[in-house]
Amino acid sequence: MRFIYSVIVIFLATFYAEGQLTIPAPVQGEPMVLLHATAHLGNGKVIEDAAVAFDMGMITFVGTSKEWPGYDSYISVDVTGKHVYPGFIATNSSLGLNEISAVRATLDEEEVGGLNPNARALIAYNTDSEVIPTVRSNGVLLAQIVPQGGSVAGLSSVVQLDAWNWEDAAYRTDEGIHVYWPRATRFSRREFTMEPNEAYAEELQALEMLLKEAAAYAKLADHQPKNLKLEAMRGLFLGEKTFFVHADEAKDIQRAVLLGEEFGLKTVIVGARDAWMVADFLKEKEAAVIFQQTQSLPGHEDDAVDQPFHTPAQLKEAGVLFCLSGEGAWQQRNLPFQAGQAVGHGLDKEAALQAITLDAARILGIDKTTGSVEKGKDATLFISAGDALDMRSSLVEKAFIQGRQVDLNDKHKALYQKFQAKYQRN
Amino acid sequence: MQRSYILLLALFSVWASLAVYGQETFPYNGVSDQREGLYAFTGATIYTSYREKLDNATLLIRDGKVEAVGVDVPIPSGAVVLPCQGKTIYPSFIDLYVEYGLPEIKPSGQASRQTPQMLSNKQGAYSWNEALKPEFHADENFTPDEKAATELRKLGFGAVLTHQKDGISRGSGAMVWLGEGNAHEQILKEQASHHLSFSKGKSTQNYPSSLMGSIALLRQTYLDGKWYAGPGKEEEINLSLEAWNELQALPQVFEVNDALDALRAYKLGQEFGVKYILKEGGKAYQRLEEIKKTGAPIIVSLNFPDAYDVEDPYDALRVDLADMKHWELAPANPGRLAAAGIPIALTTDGQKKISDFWTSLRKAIQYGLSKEDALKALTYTPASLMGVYDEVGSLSKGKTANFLLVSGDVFDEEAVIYQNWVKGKPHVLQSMEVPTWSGVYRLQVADQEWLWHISGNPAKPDMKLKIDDTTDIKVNYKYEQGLLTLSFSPEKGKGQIRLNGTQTAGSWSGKGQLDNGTWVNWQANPTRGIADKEEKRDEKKDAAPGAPGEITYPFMAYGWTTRPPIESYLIRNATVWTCEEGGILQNTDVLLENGKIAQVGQKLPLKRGTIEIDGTGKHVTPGIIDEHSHIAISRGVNEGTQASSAEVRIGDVVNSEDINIYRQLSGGVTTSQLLHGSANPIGGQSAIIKLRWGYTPEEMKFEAASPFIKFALGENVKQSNWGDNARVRYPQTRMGVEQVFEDYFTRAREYGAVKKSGKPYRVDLELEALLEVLESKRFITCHSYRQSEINMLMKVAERHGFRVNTFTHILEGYKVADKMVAHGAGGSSFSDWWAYKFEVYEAIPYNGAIMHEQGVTVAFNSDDAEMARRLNQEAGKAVKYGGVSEEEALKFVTLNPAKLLHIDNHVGSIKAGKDADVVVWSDNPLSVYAVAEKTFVDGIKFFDLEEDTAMREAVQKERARLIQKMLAEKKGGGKTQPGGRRFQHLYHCDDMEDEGSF
Repeated sequence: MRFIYSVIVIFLATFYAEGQLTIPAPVQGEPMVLLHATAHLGNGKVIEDAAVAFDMGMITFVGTSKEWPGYDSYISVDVTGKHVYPGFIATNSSLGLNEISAVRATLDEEEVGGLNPNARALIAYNTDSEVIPTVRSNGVLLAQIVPQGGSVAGLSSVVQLDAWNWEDAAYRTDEGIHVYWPRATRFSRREFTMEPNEAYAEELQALEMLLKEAAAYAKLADHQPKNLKLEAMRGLFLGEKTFFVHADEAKDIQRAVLLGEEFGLKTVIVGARDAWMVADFLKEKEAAVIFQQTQSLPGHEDDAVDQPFHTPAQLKEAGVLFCLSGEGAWQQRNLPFQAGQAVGHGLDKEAALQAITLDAARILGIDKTTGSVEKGKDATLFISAGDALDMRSSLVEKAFIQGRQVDLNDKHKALYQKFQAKYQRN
Repeated sequence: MQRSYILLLALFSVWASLAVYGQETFPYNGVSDQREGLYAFTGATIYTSYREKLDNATLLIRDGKVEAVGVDVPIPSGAVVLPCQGKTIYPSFIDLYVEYGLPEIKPSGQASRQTPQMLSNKQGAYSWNEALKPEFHADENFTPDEKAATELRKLGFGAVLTHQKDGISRGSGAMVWLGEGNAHEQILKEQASHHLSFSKGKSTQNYPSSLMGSIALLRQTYLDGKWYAGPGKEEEINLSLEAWNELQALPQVFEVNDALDALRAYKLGQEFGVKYILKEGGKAYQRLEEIKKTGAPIIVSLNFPDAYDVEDPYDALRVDLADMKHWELAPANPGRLAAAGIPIALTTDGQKKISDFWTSLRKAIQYGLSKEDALKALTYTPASLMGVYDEVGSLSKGKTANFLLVSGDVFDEEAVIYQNWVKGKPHVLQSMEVPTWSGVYRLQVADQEWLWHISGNPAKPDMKLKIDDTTDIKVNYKYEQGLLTLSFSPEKGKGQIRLNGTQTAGSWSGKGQLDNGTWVNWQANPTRGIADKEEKRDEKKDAAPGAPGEITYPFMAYGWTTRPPIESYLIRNATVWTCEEGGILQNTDVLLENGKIAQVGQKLPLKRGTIEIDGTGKHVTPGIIDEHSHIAISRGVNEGTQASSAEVRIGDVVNSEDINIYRQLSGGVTTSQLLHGSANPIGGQSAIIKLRWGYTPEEMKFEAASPFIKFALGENVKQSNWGDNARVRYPQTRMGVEQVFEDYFTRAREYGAVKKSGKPYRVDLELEALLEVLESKRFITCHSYRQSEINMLMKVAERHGFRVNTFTHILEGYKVADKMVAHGAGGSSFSDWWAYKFEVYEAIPYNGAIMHEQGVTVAFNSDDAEMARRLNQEAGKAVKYGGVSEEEALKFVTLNPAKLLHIDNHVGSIKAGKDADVVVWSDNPLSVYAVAEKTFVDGIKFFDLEEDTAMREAVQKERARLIQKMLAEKKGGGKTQPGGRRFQHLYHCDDMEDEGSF
């Protein structure tokens, strides 16, 4: 009885919401158990015929359906033949900061001045962006919102993607400083070639000097005069914030890691196009990697044609802690396919999943509470009719953020229905 | 004897510098000093031409002309006899590619920074386009430049073809002598040549902004010239066209950048029956066979790149294999061209420093250019090409006395050019008087003594004082007319000793001053028995270079050395996506023969010679077809400087040397439509190619393809996102966009009427293309997003009686799918792109599914070099968004684009008789996990995953070899350059950049 009831409720909820503005979901009411699914836990493990139960927004049970004690208070949902995944985590995204790329008025991702450690992406994060529900619809339920550009771009935060405002969206506030590493070469418009960047050494020194100053500043609990920029960097040296360095070339990646090491920072390399070349170094230094855009072209003409597809497998092989990311805002809905792409090129399927769930959570410092389907963690998970890493079969049917059942409607589905109506009338 | 000779030359130069002799029309100041200029050079080795050498011969010149040359030439009385035993005389050299004695190039006017410049800034009745300057004549602007002449004479040149290296039509070049004196007497041929290029140079006008624009401009100009010679002159006076027509009778010299540009110029010339002499940038060897077929003579630059600094293994990654290989092979270019039988002329153009010419030339010889070919390329060929071989380029009776006096073989490392005679007048480059002085002397200055070593070429020996085995003191010297001057510092940091003296019977003596000013006597006597051990020549320099790497096609990583053959393949037991009525067939065989799909069925017999491929567990699909691509295009996808650029053709600028061709083969792509961009409402004509990796651009073109043209709507064409300055070019609103179409089609219709009437008319390539559209002979692919304008264009087309073939991007097609079906337009869309600009804010991933459901022929395209190689996955998204069946979804990237491109009777499905364009996949092709394992085009396997793995290793090995070679070069003191990386532009629709001007 309970089972039938629940199915009706869920069915109605889905139907009713169609064509409407998406409304943030209320807190979890009754406890729920998803039965008979294939559960991909995000930590590399898969449970067939699984039972995943959650209550008050927390996962209370993960096991096989047979092991499930069958508590009466739980609404049972039969999801036979379907798959349960932890919510995907979009790292290095500009969700909510970039609505329409060509319309300047809708862009909030890059502040002027180049040196903006105190700029906070979180407060610019627009929970009402039309882009967010479309991304959510493919299982992305958490995102790191990252300021871009310049030398020190600012502070990123992790948000959950179903909120009224940035305050209730915030999952981990101001968790990292983003440094865009100087480039050894730059594009010459005149010659149409990459030319050595004459200012490279100077820019490197300036960056090192900034860290020195910030480290000295951080030693005094109440530094006078107060410097907002150095103040914002304080957390780096107290182990509270992560040192995210955006770098692609092998030498730059190594330099960045060594610089982080000099100051005892928790360093994460973002972008990391050439990370595969220095994978052993990264492993040895225990530096993590956010590998940007598996689906991209090789960095060099002579590289293997599938190099970026293959890089995740190489990082895994070397034992580097890494996660996979896509670029930009709307493109985040293809995050699962960035992971799927690596599977055809040597990465295990569950490892690919881990690279957009648990390992992303580890890198963002939120793995104690989320990132995998495990007892005691947030019930941030979703049900897909098929393999969610493959566009051929991915179809997200229900999603939960901290136990709240998220409205999976979005602008695209609404327009789809609107114009189906047009053609049905004909 | 020697002394008198020198004295004579000294006097001669005084005489010549008075400079007013021999010019009939000029008054003169003082007393007339006309001389006969009768000289006999006796006992010399004489190259009368590049292939005839006389020993112990005499050259007799009178009044600037050769009077006789031979072994038994009687010497007339009154001749100045100049004995030349041991010397060699060559006809002096000719350089066809210099800008000598011409004014500095300046743009015709001030370019506005704010607004586009639509017309030429040049005043007068000249061309509308500033880059067309046929009216510029080098002879009218020529003033001899003694400084530049001296530099060229030092290298052995006696005459040059000079022209202004600026613009697309650069006007005429003049053959001039490199003598001193007024322009009047230095011009050999006033209008010798017409010069052209693809580069607009200093022109500040916007058009053309792309290579295809330059080609279109030239093509139209050839037609305009013809029109002007006929009825055109009645309508307007156009001094540029007038000059253009006059120049057509001259040799046409076309400057190009590389091998592909050479082929482009050749093809353009063919259209108008023009044969160009090509001036090429040093890369012709990369497509030698095709270049040879053009039959064009080539003016060859000797610009050989320095080795790259590859000491840091990571920095070395910035140097692509193509650049490393070019470094190795560039010096072989002249030799290979000559050996192929291509007439070549050598030029100093392209040398970083002109004085490096001989270093480069000797390098070319070391890399295989024969000395005979080198001499021919410096004398006979350039003279013949300019029609002045009766004047210069050899030494025979009646020719101008332009020759060189050389110490021996001019191409030897040690050779010294003593004198360069121009029009019978000597220019002394170096004293011929060379003492016999090599050896070791005991040098005594006051009470000090050193061992003084003189070694190397006697004409310019090395001199040093040897202290011990490791310490030398450098000696500076000057030897002039029998007097030797020496200076050296006996101890570091101390003052110099300066000596002057003469040679008598093998010893030297004279006076000099010590560093404290004391005058002293000195002497130096030859030693006996002190062996000159260490004076070995630098052997490494002379050693022939090691065998270079092979030429690959294309000239880059993953190119092949042997053309992949057409073979017969039988793919066994696979899941075959036929994209035909049969649907998806299990356990099926596909037979490829003679480039076609021969048979599809089960358990097909295996014929002899057929290669069997086990397809068990694999999927076989038709090759993927990308309706919207911008790869494989050279220097610009947009000629967006005008609202219409219907005259430009992507087909003119197909770039076979693009790694993305190979990368896309690895993603199963076999056919692409290369489109003009979307910067203007009426864009350019597209090219449909098959991805025949390594073939030439012409060979890549899809033979049976219909002609297409790109149109565009919306934000790009109204320049909404180009910044605040882009507010001038019409149109700026969607209202204006409609009127552009209405206007152009109205004009095209009128043009067609005139054409049909039989009256004379000016062939207008822009309107020709649009007339083809009106007549449904050319088809439109229109970049489009918003429904309002999609509907608008269909209405414009309906008013003018044709059909819009394809809307590309068409992200709001789902809103007007019914209207598209009614009109008969297809849709080629992105699977899921949106939100990158305002007009795509209502783009939805269900677009493909809705259009498909409504009966539109739907394709998914890439417009992106990266996405193109996984279009199969994009098709998979049609299953996800809107539930299109898998069978139909795959057609979005195979049969449907083939239909949209009118090539579906050749490609797009697996059916007997169609082209064998087939892909073998590891998995369901719509899956993100699928990998293309083999890609066939016309039955030729252009991509194979296993072979690719082997090739990766080969690339690494070849890189390693070249890196070692460059390291050795650096160690040996060779120059290096930092590893800058060639930048590869990945074009999208709205890219306005050209790949730099050259």
